[in-house]
Amino acid sequence: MFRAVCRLQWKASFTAVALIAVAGFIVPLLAVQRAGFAVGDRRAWDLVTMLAAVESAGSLFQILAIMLGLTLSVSAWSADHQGDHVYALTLPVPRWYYVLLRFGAGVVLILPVTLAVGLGCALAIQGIDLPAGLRSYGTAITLRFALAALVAYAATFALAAGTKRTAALILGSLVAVFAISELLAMVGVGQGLLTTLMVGIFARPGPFEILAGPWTLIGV
Amino acid sequence: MSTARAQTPEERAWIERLERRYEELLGRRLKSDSVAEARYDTLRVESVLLLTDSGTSPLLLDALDDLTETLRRGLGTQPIPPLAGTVVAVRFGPVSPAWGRLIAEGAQFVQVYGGNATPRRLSAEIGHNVLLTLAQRGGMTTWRADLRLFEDPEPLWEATYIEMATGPLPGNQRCYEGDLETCRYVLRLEEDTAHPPAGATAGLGSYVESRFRGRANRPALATLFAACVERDDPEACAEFLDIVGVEVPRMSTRAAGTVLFTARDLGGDGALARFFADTTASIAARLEAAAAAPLDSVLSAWRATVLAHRPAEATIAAGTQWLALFWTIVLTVLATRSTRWR
Repeated sequence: MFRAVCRLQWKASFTAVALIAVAGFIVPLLAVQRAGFAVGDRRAWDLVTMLAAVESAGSLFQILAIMLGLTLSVSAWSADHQGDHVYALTLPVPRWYYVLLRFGAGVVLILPVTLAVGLGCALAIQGIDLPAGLRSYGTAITLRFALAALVAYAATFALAAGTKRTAALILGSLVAVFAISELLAMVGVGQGLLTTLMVGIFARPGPFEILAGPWTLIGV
Repeated sequence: MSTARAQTPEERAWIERLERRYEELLGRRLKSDSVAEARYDTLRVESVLLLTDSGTSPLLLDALDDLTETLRRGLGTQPIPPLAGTVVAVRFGPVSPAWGRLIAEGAQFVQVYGGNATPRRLSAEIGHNVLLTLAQRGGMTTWRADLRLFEDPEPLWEATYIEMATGPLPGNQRCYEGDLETCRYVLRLEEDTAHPPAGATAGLGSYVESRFRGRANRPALATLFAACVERDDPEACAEFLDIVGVEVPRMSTRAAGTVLFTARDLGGDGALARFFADTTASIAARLEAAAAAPLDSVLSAWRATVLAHRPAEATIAAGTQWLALFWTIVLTVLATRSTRWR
């Protein structure tokens, strides 16, 4: 049954996953080349600028991880949402088991994209003459990407598994908190509200700490 | 068009009279100020004399405990010649002419503002002023390096590692790799800055090309620019930079100052006293005297310390991966308990 669910997931998200995989492969190659780390590049005197360029390109990994999670979760539930979950309800399996099958099928598709990112990082590092004193973080970036995509997928999957009302409630609450904190900041009170919220989400023990980085492929 | 007219003898005498009268009045004012306001307590901390209008202030007394410890830790216990007679005026009110005179006579001045002063902050500010005196009297103008003897050296070492590993120019990289001659140059310890070692200026042509292309608009500059960029001629590059008013990039003054930490640690108590003993000697000679070791030994030890402070690898922090997996499980459990099927 898992194989069938995987096949469905594959059909629903093949194009998007393939595009993200290609992007994940290309980003590290382009990052080191555009920053000036390619062999013989005359910018080697300015490592600070070069490292800043690599670091800023690293933020694309975050975006790709979020996009991958979102794509997989949307495609995981799109067929069920269209059929009003009638097919799922007729299956002789408990609901939680069905949800886990759906989730697992998405997780399987995170693997090839992670592989593409890892391969891209390895090739990018191999193609440059890394100056003494610097380190490459290809493995760390690949592992971070896999975990970030997993958490992003789990969050959006849980949101998509709920009713439209629940999803609207959660997203609406987030938007409302952002709007209120912005308004309060404009009148000079509660400047720390948005910061507190962001820290709660992106700093330990928040769910998206893994997304906060660092995402640089080359560093000291 | 107007022309300046020479003053007549009468006019000059009249102006002099006015000036004398003004000074007389000002003198009276200063005198009354000094009677009313220049009553200060004197406190001695190690070799530093503090003049303060509030010698019994609990804030100041707490700061002094911290300052004594800081001075001993940073400067050692041996007297340092240029510090003798250092006066720091700590004023709890606004500057007045009487206190202004203290500054004019060479005292450092610290003003305490009621609201945000803490013993630690006040102690740091007094310490900063002590270092200013040391820099002014200790012949530090010949060496562009920050004296940060009272700071926690750990962050400074780490910042120095980053500078050495990331540039500017391959000079820092050569120093990283152990070329001590280049280290001397990038730390500004060389007397002869006109002829930098080859390792320190490699890549200067491409640096000049990318940063100063727009400035080579005069014939003389254009010739130098071409020689610098096309032949990568370091002397042409140095001359070009000199004309446009830019120094050949080297390590920051903050990083250069860390050599003094090494000399102090190698030389033990009394190292700084030896460093400041002869303010006319070259910085290299003074560092050797402080460390009681040849400069190359000092630089080797300095480099080893810098390399030992390489920042930790920017891998995933311990526990972050487990936290990510934990949240994945939590969110998946929430998904299985969705109300959609109930």
